[in-house]
Amino acid sequence: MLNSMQKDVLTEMINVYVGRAAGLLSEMVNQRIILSVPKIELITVSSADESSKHFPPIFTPGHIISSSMRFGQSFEGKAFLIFPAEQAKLLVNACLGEDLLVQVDKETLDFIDTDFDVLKEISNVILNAVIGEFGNFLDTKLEYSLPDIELIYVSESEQKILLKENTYILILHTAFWLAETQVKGVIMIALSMNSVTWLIEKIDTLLED
Amino acid sequence: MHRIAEFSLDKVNLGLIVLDKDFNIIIWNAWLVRLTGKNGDEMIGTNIVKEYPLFAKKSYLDILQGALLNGQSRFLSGALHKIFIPPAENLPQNIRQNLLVEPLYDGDEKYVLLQITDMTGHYTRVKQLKNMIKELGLEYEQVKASETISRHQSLHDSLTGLPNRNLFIDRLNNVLNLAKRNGEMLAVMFLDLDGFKEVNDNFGHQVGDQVLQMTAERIKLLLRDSDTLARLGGDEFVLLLPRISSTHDAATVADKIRSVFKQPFTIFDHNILLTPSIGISIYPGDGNDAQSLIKNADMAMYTVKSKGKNDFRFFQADK
Repeated sequence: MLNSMQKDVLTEMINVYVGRAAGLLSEMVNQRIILSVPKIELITVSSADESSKHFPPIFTPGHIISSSMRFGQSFEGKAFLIFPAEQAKLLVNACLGEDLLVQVDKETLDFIDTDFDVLKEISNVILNAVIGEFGNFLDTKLEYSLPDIELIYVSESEQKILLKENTYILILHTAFWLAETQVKGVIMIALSMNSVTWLIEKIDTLLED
Repeated sequence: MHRIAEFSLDKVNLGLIVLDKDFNIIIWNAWLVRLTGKNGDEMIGTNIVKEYPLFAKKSYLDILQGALLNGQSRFLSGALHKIFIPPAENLPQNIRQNLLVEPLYDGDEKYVLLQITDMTGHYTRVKQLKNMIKELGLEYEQVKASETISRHQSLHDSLTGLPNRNLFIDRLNNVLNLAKRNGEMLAVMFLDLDGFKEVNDNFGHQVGDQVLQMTAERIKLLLRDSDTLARLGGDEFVLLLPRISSTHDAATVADKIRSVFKQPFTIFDHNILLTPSIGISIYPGDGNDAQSLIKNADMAMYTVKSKGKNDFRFFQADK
């Protein structure tokens, strides 16, 4: 879907974007947060269906926390920040400066409302930054919804829960570093065919220069 | 503005602020009047950045600008920011607020909408809940620990730390079931110290207790992991030897036990020499259940006692 040059440009761009988001987050929680996107992939729903090897490993069966927000108008889609539930809990605890030595137990995920508030804000900052920068890059005006937080159980059989037909999905494998802890998550940006084409064309013009 | 719209703004249970493109306040609802004690006449027309210096900080100013210029909505949680619009001085200060910053466009006119919700009650509840969960967790650990301790106490002899009668019978029953199923042989030994009463009488209970502890230590060193040595009380010990191949195995162990008594027990300058009397019962042959195997080993031990002590003897049904 993307040749290696395009991939390199996009990876570099996105790392700059999440770097800025990390700056905002660090200020917010008063500690150094480093964000990096070591790997990106662009897939279509059909190729995702064909073989599970395209799925980020985050979709192993279990609970996940998904925060999603829609954006539009001409560049349009839906952005997700997704964590395995225990990683999300770790992130919240680190942000609130709570004890990290307490083992996060996969079986008893005791999320409370304020945990979701914190995740909502974190995802808001990151997704706004990434989507906003895409808007700047394409020089287009965007509208944003507020994030919706969901705790979802992904079973063996329905690992494609978030995916619809005829969409392209930009998968950004994201690592957070904070308080000597690493938290892994995935940013997924579902884009319409038009939006993907637009983005790739713009990257190509950048490469021609 | 439509009067009913204005009434509604004042009725809603959250703080509503609308800012114009220069961040001047143009709507300040009754919820905020109650919170801050500052009424609309006072606030409308003033600049939020000047009134509330928090919004002059770059990170907050960026959020306002993001909404105004880039159309970005932003949720700010009380868990991380605590408070945005502080209450009047005569009100409690330890409150928590969530803030929602959203763009509001009217044709070409751009505004920013701020919604402030009070989360104090919520946070207090969450805090209490967290403390409760922590306390419950601690209590659970304590109960678990004391259960483990009392379970150990109920199954062990406090002087020697050896299993007591209950645990011995339980283990014997288990081993018996296995032996029955697999056609195995096992031995039960009943052991009594000759002359122990005299040790207590001559040197006192403290010395007697030490002798019992040392006896337990010495015998334990001879045993396999699968063997069980228990103290029934007084100077009576029982020993379970599962999966032996012949009575000869039991005799060997009995001989070894006798040999550990050849060394005197040295306690408080006293050198005490004792001997054991040992009775042995064997499954199959001398009983099919725990009680009769123990009883018959006991009887064999009494035969040893009556025939001169310091020896071991197998149970014989006809005697």
